[in-house]
Amino acid sequence: MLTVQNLAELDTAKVTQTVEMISSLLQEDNPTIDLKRGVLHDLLLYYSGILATATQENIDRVRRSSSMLAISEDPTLAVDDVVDRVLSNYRITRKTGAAATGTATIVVSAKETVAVPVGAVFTTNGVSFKTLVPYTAVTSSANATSSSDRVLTARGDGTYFFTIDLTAVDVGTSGLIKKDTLLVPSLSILNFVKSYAASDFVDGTDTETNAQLVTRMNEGIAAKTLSNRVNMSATIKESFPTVTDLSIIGYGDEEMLRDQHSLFPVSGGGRVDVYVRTQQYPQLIGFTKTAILVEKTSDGFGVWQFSLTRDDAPGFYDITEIRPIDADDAFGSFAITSEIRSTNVANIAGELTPDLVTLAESTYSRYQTAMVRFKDTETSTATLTVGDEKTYSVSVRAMEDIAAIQTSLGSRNVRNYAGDVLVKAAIPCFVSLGFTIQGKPGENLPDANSIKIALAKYVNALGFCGRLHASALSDVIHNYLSGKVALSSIDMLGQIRRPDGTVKQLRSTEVLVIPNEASNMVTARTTIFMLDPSNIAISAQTVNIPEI
Amino acid sequence: MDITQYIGRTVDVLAYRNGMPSGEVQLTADLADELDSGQIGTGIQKLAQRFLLELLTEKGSMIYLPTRGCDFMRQARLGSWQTVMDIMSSFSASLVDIKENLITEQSSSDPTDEQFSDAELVNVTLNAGSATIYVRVVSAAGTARTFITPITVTL
Repeated sequence: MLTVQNLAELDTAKVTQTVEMISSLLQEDNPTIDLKRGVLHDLLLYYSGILATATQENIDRVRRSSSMLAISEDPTLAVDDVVDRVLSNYRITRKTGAAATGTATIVVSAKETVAVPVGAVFTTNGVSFKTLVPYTAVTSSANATSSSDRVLTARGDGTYFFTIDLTAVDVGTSGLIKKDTLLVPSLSILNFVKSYAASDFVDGTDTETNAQLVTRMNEGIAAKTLSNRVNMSATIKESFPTVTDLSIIGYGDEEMLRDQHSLFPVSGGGRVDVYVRTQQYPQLIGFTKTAILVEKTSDGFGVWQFSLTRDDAPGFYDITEIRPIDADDAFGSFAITSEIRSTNVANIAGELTPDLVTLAESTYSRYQTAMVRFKDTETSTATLTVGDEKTYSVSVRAMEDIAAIQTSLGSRNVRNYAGDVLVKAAIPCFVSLGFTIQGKPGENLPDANSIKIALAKYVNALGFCGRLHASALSDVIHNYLSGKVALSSIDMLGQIRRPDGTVKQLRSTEVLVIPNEASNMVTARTTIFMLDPSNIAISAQTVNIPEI
Repeated sequence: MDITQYIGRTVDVLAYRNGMPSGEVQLTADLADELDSGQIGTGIQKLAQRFLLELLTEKGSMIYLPTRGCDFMRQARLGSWQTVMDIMSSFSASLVDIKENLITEQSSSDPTDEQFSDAELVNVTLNAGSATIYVRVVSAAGTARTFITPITVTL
């Protein structure tokens, strides 16, 4: 609290000092009264001193509360409304958290009308979601009368599905569940078989902390223009509040390759690469693609091919899944036999197309495209001919808003007249962790899911740091351990997907270090650690500790 | 002592009033009453009052003066007094703290009749729900003041 709420919280030295000061003033004013001890001292002077100290403390706090330095040094001043008030002077407004939203698929066993009321709650791993409108799944489109009516669609296995929109009950990133996460309804749904997330849930954000606000202070007062790094960062974050981390590579940076396109191998300047992170973890985007049979194989199946355009999932990292359109998540994925990325630099109206020469330069930007071939081991090609088409369900990992940011920075009014800007998703180092929690028999084991979420939150907030230390992860984990429960070493695995498509493996129990491969554009300034809670393996082990 | 000897002395408000130079009079705790708006005191009267403040202040109850007071009233409040001997024992133990506090806060330049020398429990009477104690306070000047304090206790 900004003001003193309890007289016991004052500093003893300050109280003593104030009592002495009042005593001195009173004694000068009236030398005949005894203020060293006795009734006047105990009943008048003592309490007067305490109240005066409290008042002075209030004055001091108000005075210090106008200084961000003082606020950061004194936790009693780190009250949200005080910080908000001070930072408003720098044109910074706290980002309030938002509840995650997404679409859920509900599978039922019969083609009968199903109702899902407003406020229906679905839960997964302790996180609850609810419907904001009532939904009715009807048997044909002719029966659909409102925008919240859904038509039951056959899945091909005798079951039917419909989709509903869900919103997390609580604000925060905990609601960012992944595609295919099973959701358990808290109410009875007619003919219910199962329900799961149809795609990654999005938009769930935590309310900005004071520490995060302070780090944005420079950007608040900076002019919103593509000039120096602070200005550029302010420009991008003001227009795209979901951008949490960004790294700007320009003239003189060893990672900048695009300004060396002239005959001479020197940097010419005028090129800027912006690596951004817009989400804690890349979003799984699902869509359908029509593939063409390009080869019939001797085992009776075939190789199929489809293309990803630059607008399908701008800046995507990789393809995680290809499966029949009626298959569920238990199916897995067909194996990709080849993935050839290329660049589409066809002009986009109103945007300056950046100077892109090599494929690696455009990787993870909105200009990359891909041609994918995979082997379908389910569909017999005996009656098919090369060139036949079939629709598949495809999932890719991508950062949101890469195309939108590129459009904004490439527009005539925003871009710098002396060069171009290329926006890329930060180069990913996908992290997985494994460790063991050890304890005596009977010790309370911590909630593994909470640990996973805390670890992911920590790692995904590191930004462009270059190093991931096991000791820091251990610190996070220990917040959840109690009693004689301890932690083994942490096996950390990192996979950097370089822009040229190759993968660099990192493994350590101490520290993962992003290598300096400037010629591949992989350095600590371009690469970030990404940790999905599902990529954390926690095991528990009972150990014998002798009683002493 | 002649009243002229008190000229120029520092005074304190009398919180425990009705003290007389001699005779048995029960003190009353009033800063003012229907007859006057307050009285001041000095000399041995001030010393006796300081002693009483120490005796009746529970140690630790003054947050920023943690050493002030003694455990006399705490023991009364907790019902530790069952017999006269309990009270006498409690007083003796408390006198150690009181003596230290009173001597610490006084200086050699103070008038001798305001400097604490010693105190003793003259008499104790246990009644139903209360105890009356007679305390004699002796100053460095050799003068003494005996006062009576009725204290309501749980017995």
